[in-house]
Amino acid sequence: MSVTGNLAEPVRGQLDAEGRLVSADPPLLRLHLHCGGYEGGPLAVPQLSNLCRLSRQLDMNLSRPVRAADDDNLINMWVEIRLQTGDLQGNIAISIVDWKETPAPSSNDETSGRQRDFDRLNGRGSIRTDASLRIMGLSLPGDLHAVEKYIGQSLLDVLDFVEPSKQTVLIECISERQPVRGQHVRQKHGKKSFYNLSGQPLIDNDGLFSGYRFSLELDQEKEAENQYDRASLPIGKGELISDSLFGSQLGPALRQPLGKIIANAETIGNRLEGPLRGDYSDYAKDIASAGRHLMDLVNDLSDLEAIQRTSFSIAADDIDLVDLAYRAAGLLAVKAADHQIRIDLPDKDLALPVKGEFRRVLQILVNLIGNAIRYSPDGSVIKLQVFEDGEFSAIMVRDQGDGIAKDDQQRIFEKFERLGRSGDGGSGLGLFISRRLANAMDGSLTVESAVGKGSTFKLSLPSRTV
Amino acid sequence: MTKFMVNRDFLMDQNPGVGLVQKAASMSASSAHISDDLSAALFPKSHIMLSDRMLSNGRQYLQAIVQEIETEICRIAVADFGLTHDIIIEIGNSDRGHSFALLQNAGLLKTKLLLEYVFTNIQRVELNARLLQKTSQADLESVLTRHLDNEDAAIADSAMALLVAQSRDNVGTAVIKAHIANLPAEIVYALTWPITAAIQKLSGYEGSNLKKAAEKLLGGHDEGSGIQSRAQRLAQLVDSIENDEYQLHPLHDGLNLFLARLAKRSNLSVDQLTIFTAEPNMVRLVLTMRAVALPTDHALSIFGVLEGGGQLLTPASYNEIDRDHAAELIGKLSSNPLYQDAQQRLHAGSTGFPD
Repeated sequence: MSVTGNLAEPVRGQLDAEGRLVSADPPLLRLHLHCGGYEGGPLAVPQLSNLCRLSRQLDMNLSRPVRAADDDNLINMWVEIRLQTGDLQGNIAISIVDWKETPAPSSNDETSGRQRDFDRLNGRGSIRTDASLRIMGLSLPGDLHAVEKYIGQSLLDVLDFVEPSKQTVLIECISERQPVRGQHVRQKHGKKSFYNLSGQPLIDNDGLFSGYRFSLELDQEKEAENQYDRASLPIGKGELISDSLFGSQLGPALRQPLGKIIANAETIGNRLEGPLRGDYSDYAKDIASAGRHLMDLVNDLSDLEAIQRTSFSIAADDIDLVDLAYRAAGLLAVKAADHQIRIDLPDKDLALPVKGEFRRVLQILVNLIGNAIRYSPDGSVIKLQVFEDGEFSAIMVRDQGDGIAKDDQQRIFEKFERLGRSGDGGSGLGLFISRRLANAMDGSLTVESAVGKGSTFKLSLPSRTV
Repeated sequence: MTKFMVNRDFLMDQNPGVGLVQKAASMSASSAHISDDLSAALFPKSHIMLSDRMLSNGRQYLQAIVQEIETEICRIAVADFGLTHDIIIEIGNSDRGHSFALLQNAGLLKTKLLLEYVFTNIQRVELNARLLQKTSQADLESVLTRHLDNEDAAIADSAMALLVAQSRDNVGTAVIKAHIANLPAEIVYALTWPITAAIQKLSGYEGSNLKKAAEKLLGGHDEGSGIQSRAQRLAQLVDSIENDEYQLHPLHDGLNLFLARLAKRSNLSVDQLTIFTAEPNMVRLVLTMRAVALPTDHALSIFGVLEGGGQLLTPASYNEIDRDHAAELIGKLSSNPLYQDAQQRLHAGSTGFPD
């Protein structure tokens, strides 16, 4: 379906010698305003102003196709740029002979950015190498230093292999162009973080081997062990299920089989391997859902153990609360859409620079928005607002749920506190962990709520001057 | 190689009075560049094979557009600015180029923009010749007439305008013709000023009227009446209403409209697509067709019509291309050319597409 402009009459506009839009027909004016221009201001539609600039530069008239985006529409135009002479010398007449608006096709452009956010949330990075294992591109969460230093170096020069993994195993895989799985490595320089390395060989258009794409997953257990060794500090007894046993031993022992259960159950549930009786497929989906719940619990428990360790520290990245709000909302967009919940975000042009660890702040926001979605009625609105509060900058997540009674408002930040709820997928650890993380970043996490009036969670972090 | 030599002899034929000593001097100047010529022939940097016919066409085409512009400048200078200089009047009435040799020797025609434009034009002549092996001249000329009855007046007008432009250039005859109206603004601009300087040097004319004539030529140029431009406009109009994939075919649309429509769907430029058709096995064209989701039979048919080297595209190899992956790669090719160029250089030495 397409919306067609009046073809008999072109859409016209006029620029003065300074490039200001001095007159314009309604469709052009509307597009100009939507692109951030103002009446009598410089032409704000980039594609059109580029064409006008080229026309001035060449001192020639131009006739070209132009495509512009306006809200949810794509506008295809045929534009004629005419340099004026005589009294209007220096002016430019714009005449758009075809003006066709069509709904913009849905784009997958955001998918890769969203995937990267998921990766960062989970402490995952990626490395792309050429055929000689020279690093051509990488992303490592919260480690810009590495990104600058590593490009162009050999993979083997920047990573050490940690027992039981061996460099020879990797070399063997690579010489046979085989996928690499589950290698334990550690950065030689910089943060010296531990990672689990896996990789797939890449084949280019000519069918030739052109390098590897590796993914790096932060090795929480090794990190935890390392921090324990370094600090050599005793851990508070009785606070955890079994001291540091969980993070270093039980966590991985549970995560691996759980991952397999979820993956296989999803394969069965989605009937990827072939047709299946309807109720069986539903059972499989139930298994996957229960598996994910258990996996969340395991992750929460690992986090719990990490933050309770006296040596727990957090990076002070330069981050922006508005940017993180958008990323967190992007991660939960599908879940919100399932419940017809709209997430109302602050103006994208706002900037609220703060100090905090990117991954951890994202984790807190995902927890807050996730809770808001979980406890809000379908079709409601979750509002995210940002403001400056003295030396702090804050973000508020406001929902339209049932609210929390005054007496319960401190209890929700306690470990395993569910306020008597069950079966909704929560572990009772999210808010406890979030508050501890906020405190560790010299910030705070508070709640204001009244029964029947929704809840507002406020995350404050120290402001940063740009 | 022989072609260059032939041309240098030809240059000297133009000046029969040149003595042996002068010839020798000119030879020593030219042989300093022998390694350039040899390296270009021995170590081509692109995968595209330039046949002798294409080189010859390219040279003819470049000569023709230089001559067109040169004649036009002199004509305007005489007619509109009352210039009475003998040589300029003669150039304006001449049917042979004068400034080409001068510009060529000064290296002024060796610009990336100009040569890429020339290449895409000669490749289009190649493609037209291949089309003519599959269908008749009359059929090719009549393909656009189906748009003339379109109820949308803009489409009918636009189709008529393209037909007129094509008949002016006699497109489809696989004979190279240069017409100033078909040139994009950047090319006219890039040629007009060097040519004006060359005419000034040839004629020894010192006044400002020649420059005024050049300005008038540039000011009066309407690139919208060129074939490519008209094809692009028609493509834009036709593609926003037609959803029938099967209409997108060189035999149904003619080469110009086909390329313009595919360019519009894939967000690439017509010139990019033309270059794809010259590459071995037309791999990037195949990828583009996959990215815009052309059905298998249809894509194979287009490949068969445009391919000149006897290569075959099989349904299996077309279908095994992952569509999302193809769309992603083609999407990268539509980004800013300077950005792409920088990316390619930063990834120098590695094969495949940069990330």
